[in-house]
Amino acid sequence: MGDAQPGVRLDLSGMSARLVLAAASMLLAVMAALEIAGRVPSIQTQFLAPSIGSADRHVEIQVAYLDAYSERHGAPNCYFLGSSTVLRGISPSAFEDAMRQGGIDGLHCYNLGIQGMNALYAPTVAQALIEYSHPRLILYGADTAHVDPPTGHGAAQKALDSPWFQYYLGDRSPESVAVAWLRSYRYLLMLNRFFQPHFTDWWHESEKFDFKLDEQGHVHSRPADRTNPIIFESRNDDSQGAASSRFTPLQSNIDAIVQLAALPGPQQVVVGSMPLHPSYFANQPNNIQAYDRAKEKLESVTQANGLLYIPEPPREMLYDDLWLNRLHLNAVGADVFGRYLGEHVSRAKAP
Amino acid sequence: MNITTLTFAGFVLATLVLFYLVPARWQNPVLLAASLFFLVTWSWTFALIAVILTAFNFTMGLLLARGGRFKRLLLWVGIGTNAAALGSLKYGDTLIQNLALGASPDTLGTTFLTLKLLVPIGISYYVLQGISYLIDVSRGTLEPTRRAVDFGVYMIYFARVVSGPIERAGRFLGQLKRPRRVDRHVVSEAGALITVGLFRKLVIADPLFRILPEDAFAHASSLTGPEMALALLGFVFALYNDFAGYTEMVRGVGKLFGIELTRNFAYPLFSRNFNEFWNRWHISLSHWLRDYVYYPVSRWLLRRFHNPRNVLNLAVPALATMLVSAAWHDARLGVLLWGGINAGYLVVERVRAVWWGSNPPDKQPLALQRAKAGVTFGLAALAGVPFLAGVTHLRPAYGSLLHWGTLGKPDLRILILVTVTLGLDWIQSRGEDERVFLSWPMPAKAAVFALAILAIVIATRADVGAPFIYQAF
Repeated sequence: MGDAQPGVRLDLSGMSARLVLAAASMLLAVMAALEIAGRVPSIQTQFLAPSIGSADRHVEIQVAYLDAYSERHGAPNCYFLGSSTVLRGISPSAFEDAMRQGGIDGLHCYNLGIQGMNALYAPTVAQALIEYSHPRLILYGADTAHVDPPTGHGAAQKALDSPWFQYYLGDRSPESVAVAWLRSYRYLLMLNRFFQPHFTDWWHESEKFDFKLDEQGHVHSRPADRTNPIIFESRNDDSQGAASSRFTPLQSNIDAIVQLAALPGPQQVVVGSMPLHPSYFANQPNNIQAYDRAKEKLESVTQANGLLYIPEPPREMLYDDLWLNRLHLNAVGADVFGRYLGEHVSRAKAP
Repeated sequence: MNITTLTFAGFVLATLVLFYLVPARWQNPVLLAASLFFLVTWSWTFALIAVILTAFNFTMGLLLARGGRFKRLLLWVGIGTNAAALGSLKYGDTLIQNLALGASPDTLGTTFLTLKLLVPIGISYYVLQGISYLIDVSRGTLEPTRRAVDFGVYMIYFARVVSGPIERAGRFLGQLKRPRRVDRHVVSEAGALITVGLFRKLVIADPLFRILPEDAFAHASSLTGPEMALALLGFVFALYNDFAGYTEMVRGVGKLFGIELTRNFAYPLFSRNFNEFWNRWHISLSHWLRDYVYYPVSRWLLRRFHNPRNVLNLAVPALATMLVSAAWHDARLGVLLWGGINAGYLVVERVRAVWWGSNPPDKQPLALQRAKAGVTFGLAALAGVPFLAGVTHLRPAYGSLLHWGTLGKPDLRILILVTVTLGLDWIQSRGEDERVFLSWPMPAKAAVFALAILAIVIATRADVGAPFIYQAF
C-alpha cells in the first residue's frame, strides 16, 4: 500500500435516460395492447384461458372465467364452494331462479367447486373470495370430502399457492399484484408456462376441462360431455372410493366448515349436503349407515353454530338420468339440485 | 449470493456507492472487502481457503522475485501447493461424498451438480490465476506486486471469483495501477453486457435446463435418435448460454468498477475448425492452457525432436493440453475421454495443416465455411457425449443417436431456444461486438432492450436462483 493509488473516476456527464424511457414506453404499449385484448369477450372465449401462476390448470381456467363473469355481470355476490360434486352438481342460474321466485333477488352466483377440494381448505378459499367481491352468500357443498383427510397436493392447495389467491389473501408481492390486476401479465405467464417441464400435460389439462365460457360470461359444461364424462371417470371408480373412505367425520374438517361462519363480513353461510347416487355404496353396504351418521353429525354441529344446513333431497328427485356417474350430477341434474337448494335457502330467508 | 438475484444487484449497488464515495486509495480495499464479504455469503470456510491461498501466492511471488538458487524449487512448491489445494478440495470432496452417499459420479445429473457445488466457490479459477502469476514472476515477465490489497483483488475479485474469467496478473494488476474513468459510454456498455448476459442465462439457459429430458443420458436407450439429438443439442446450447451469459454479466459489472475482464466467448458456434473453436470457447481457460501447458510441452518436445512434423511434436502437446483441461473440469473417466476426443480432433487438424497445408478459413468460399462450422459444431457436440453421459452410459447414448427409424416426441421448444441463441450470436458476430445493439438507432435499441427485459421478467418470475453450471467446475 506504499504508493498512491490513481483510482477510478466516475463521470456521468451527458448521460441520458432516453433509452430507458423509450424502452419503458414500448413495454407499456405492449402491455396496454395485451391488456385490452385480454378483456375482449371474443378473445376470452376463443383463446386459452390465461395463467394465474397456479400449478393446477383447472383452477386457472375457473379464475379466468370468474373474471370474465365479473366483467360482464359485476363481481358475484354468491359463491358455491366445495369439490367437483359441487362444480358439477349445482347450477348457478337454477339456484338464482329459485331464489328469485322465493323473493330473494339480485343474486349473482358463481360456482367455484374445485376438484377434490377438502373441507379444510374451504375457509381460506372463502376468505379470498370475500376479499375479491364481498359476497352476500356462500354455499358450501359437503360431500365425502368432509370425512376424508386432505392429501396436501390437491387442486385446492395448488390454487391457494397461486399468486391470484395469495393476492386476495393479503400478499402484495409484485407478482401477486400483477396477476390480480393485469390480464396482460397473465397472458405473458403462459409463455413462462410454455418453457416449463410438463407443458404438454398442462395443455391437455386445458383441453380436458369440460366447462366453456360463452360471450355473455356464463359457464357451461360442454354438451358432448354430459353423457361422456372425461375428467373424473377414473377417480370415480366407486367401489375403490367407498372402500378408501372411513366415513367417520374428521373433527378438523367439521371445524373448518364451522369456521366459515366466523369469517369477517356480512355474508350468510349455508351448508348443503351433496347427494351421492345410491349405487355409490353398492359394494360397501355397511358404509351407508356410517355415512348417514357422518352427515347427522355435520348437521347438528353446523346448526349448533348458527349455520343453515340443507339436507340431501329425496332420492326419487334425482333419478338415474340426472347422473353423470355415481358421484356427479349431469347438467340437468345440476339444474334440479340447484333449484332444490335455492328453494330451501329462500324459504329460510337467507340472505 | 447468486449473481442473478436482486440481492446481488443490491450488493453491487451498495459496493459501487461506497467505491465512488471513498478516496482513490481506498477503492481497492473496498473492492477487496466486498469480495471477502461476497465469499462469506457462500461460506466462511470458502473465504478462509481463498484468503490462505491468496496470502500464499502473494508471499511466493515476493520470494520468487528474489531469485537465488532455490527459485526453481520455490516455483514447483508454489505450483504444487496450488495444485494440491485444488486437487484435494475439488476431487477429494467429490470422492468422499460419492463414497458416503453411494452416488454415481459418472453422469452430469442433479447429483453431480449438487455435490460439486460444495467445492469451495471459485477455487478452480483463482488457483489457475495463482499458478500463472507464479510462473510469470519466475520467468521474469512480470514484476511481483508488493500491494497485498491489489493482489487480493486480483485473486478473489467478487465479479469474477465464481466462474472466472481466468485473468492474467499482468493485465489485471496493470489496470488497478492506472487511473481509469467510468463515463456514460462505459456505463452503457456495462448495461448492454449485463442485459445480454441475463437474457442468455435466464431466458435461454435456465428454461433449456428445465425442459431437457431428465436423465436423458442415463436412460438414453429409451430415447429415439431425434429425441437424443435434440437433448444433446439442448445440453450444449444450455451450457453455452449459461456460461457465456455469466461471463457477459460479470464483465458488465466489472466495467462499472473500471475493470475490463477478459472476454470468454467469441461466437464459438460459428467456428470453422477446432483450433478456432478453442480460441472462441472459454477463451481465458484455453489461453491459459495454451501458455502454460501447450507451449511449454511443445518447446520441450521440439528441443528433443527437432522436426516439427514429428508425430510426437504434433500429437503430444494437444493431447496433454486437452487432458489437463479435462482434469480441470472433473476427474471422471467420461470427462477425460471428452478431452481425449477433442485432442484427437486437434491433432488431425494439425497433421493435415502441417503435412498438406490449408487455407485460412476466412479465405474459403462462404458456403464451405458454413458447412465446416456445421461439421465442427456437430463433432464438438458428439465429443460432449462422454462428458454428459459418463462412460457407463456411453454406448446406449451413442446408440440411441443412431436410431432414426422413429421420430419419437422431440421437444420443439429446444429448437426454439437454439434458434434464439443462433440469432443472438449471428447478430453479435455480424457486428463483431457483443454490444452491437448500442450502435443501432434508438427505436431499434429501445425495442431490443424492452424485449429483453420483458423476456427476463417473464422467464424468471420469482425464480432466479438457479446456479451457474460452471460454478461446479
